[in-house]
Amino acid sequence: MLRSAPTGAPSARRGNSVPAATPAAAGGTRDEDPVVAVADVRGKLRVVATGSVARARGIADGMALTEAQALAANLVALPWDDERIARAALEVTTALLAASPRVAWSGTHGRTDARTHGEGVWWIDAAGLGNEAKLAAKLVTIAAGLGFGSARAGIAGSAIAAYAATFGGTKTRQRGGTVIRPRIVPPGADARYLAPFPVTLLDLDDDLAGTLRGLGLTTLGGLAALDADEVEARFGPEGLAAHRLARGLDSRGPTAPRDDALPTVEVELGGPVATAEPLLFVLRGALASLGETLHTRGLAARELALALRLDDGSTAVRPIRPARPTSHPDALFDHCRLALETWQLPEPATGLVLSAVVTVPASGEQGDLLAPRWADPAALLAAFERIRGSEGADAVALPEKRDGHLPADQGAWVPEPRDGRVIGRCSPAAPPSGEMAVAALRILSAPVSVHVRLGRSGLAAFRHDDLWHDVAAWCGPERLAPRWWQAAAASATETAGPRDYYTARTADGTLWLLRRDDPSHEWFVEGWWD
Amino acid sequence: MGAPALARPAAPPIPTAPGWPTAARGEGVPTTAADGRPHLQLAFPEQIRRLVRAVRRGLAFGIPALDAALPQGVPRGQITALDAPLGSGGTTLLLALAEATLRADEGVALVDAERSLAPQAAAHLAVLGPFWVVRPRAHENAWWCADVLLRTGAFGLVIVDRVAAPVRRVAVRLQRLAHDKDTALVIRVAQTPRRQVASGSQLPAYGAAMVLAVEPPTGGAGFIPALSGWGGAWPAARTLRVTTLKGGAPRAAEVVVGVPLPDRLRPHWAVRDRRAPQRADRRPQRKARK
Repeated sequence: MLRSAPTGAPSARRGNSVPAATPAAAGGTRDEDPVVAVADVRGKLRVVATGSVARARGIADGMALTEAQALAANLVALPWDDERIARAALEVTTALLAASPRVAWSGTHGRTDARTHGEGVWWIDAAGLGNEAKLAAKLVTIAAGLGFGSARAGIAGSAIAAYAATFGGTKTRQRGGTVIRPRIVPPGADARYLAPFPVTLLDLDDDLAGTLRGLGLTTLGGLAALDADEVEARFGPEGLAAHRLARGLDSRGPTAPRDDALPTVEVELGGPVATAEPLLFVLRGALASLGETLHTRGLAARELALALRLDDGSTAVRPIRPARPTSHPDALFDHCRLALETWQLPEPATGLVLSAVVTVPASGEQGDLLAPRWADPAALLAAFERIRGSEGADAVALPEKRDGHLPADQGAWVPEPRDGRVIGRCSPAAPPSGEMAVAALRILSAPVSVHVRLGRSGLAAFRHDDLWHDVAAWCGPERLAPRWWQAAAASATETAGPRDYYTARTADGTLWLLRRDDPSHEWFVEGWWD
Repeated sequence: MGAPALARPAAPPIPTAPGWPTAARGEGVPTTAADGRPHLQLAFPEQIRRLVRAVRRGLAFGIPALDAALPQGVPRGQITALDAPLGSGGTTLLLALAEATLRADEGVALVDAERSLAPQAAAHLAVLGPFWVVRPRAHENAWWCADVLLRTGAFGLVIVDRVAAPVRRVAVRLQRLAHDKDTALVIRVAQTPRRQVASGSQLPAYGAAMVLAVEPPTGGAGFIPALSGWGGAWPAARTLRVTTLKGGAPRAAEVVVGVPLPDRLRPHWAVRDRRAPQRADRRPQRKARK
């Protein structure tokens, strides 16, 4: 981590003191009482933080509770409270944001071991903020203003060196008393600065720390001097991580604040609403706001929760799941409108809450410079989603050829292309067919029963749509059996027996596809060539 | 004399178009090839040809006789009406137009208002490029679907097939959308009486810039033997007559359309055809009276 990089990480550190909020919240304690925080460390209650009075009595972090009580009979032992610590840390973090835009509390991560040093460390970005000494002084002043008078600061190019620098400040006497001047490690000198520090600075586990101690490696300089491959071969990944830290290679540091909360829009209606029209009006605006937020974050909603606050104080919730994740307000509106129109509410609604429950990253695809026309696939998918929401899931489809023997089984509609690409490109090598145009078959979704008039030469006419069509020529029959081997495939309209298919050309030139079912001798129009 | 100094290899020519300010850098970079073509055209000849072609004219049908009769093609940004009665070959022409548009690397959307298009008839288009078929629940929703599709701007051609004529308000909105997106909108209205189309007495009133009428040959050709050795017959090819009623010089073109033989009737070289010859007396019989 470099000093000039935007993720440069100076560290402001204070000792493992009990946060200011903790004693105050522990009712019944007095300022002169020794206060400690205790936690269960490997099955034994140990002191993990001490107040100033307790420190003066000789109580130290890591001490067993019984030992501490032996030193101070009136010891007040409070259980370690992660939630209270987090609240106090948030207060400190908020105050430190006045000095730098990127502040991160190292956090407890559920560890209350006094050796972790993690509970009172803040990483603060010092890159590009001007005079580093002034910044460090400002940080210390802010911490002192919050009641942490012993807070220290260190500035370096890596987090571990900055943490070590908090121990290296120089004390100077001033008019108000002793002041600790922050230590600033010069750029590029992190490894050299870390060399004399003990290995215990690295928060190693007991096994590795004991092994290093047994090998005589007591300083970070000695560990850093080893070959990285040999360290990895002997001590494994944990040893390699410690070796990197000893060399001043530390990727920790402050991160930009993130808002991971999923977007939610709440609208209070003016009064109880019992009809869908006012709700739809409000819903459109709420969806526009929600869609804008999702779009800004690069997200698409896979599931929404549409909640209505009812007049009796209860809340009715209905999930909205578009077929494809989208942030397009119009597509989401069609789904929500369908849900609202079919929703029987027991009470009038007084409020509306719309929240994205499940989100996925929105897709992004770059356009082709030389394509005559290009559109955002996400926008096209949103348009398809609108149509599917209104016209049914099978409303947008691709034609696909199938290997069926019945005319109706020789093709199928599929909802998506096989390669998953909405906007494909025509293959430049695809030559034009150059053949004679072929007539397109149109097939009715449900064959229509027709009356047929038979003459001497067979088919003479048939009646379809209240019109008699005179047959000029015909051919057939071609006997085909439906899928008798698939019992499930036969629908209620299909007959199991064989069919005789005829092709008839009527006097107006239209070519029809007719069929006669064998058992019933009933005639149907299946389609026509167009 | 000593050995000559190693000469630097010549820098490759920068692909650029004529007129670009290369002289300002003091470099004599050639901007054209020996035959005078710009280097950019040398690098992307197919793409540039497509772009130039796309800008120059409207959409072609890919049928030589019809394209000759419509030298400007189907206009972009306008409504084109196709008056083709049921069974006259209108769908065939629309799919041919879609195929030619896809080969020009533009997307096509087809709104099948009647939900009767057989998927096998258009399956060859889906492998060519972005070809989507929208099948609304009801006829009247087809215009809303076309509206949504036009707004995406992703399609060079939007076809609305077999639908009732739009009211003026809808037609104006669609025409504006087609103009804004530079998309050709082709509408085929269902239930057009044949005699009115043939005479041109009732032209569509929904602002179509071009009107094409399709007249099938009355009577029609008969049937021909489908396979040698098998008595089965199959419809013979027929000739459609496409007339320009509006949007250009009144011209007519004749298009030959064949009916594809189903795969189940195609012989295989390795399998002997065991179908018996069709008997002449296998006519449909009257239903026996009880």
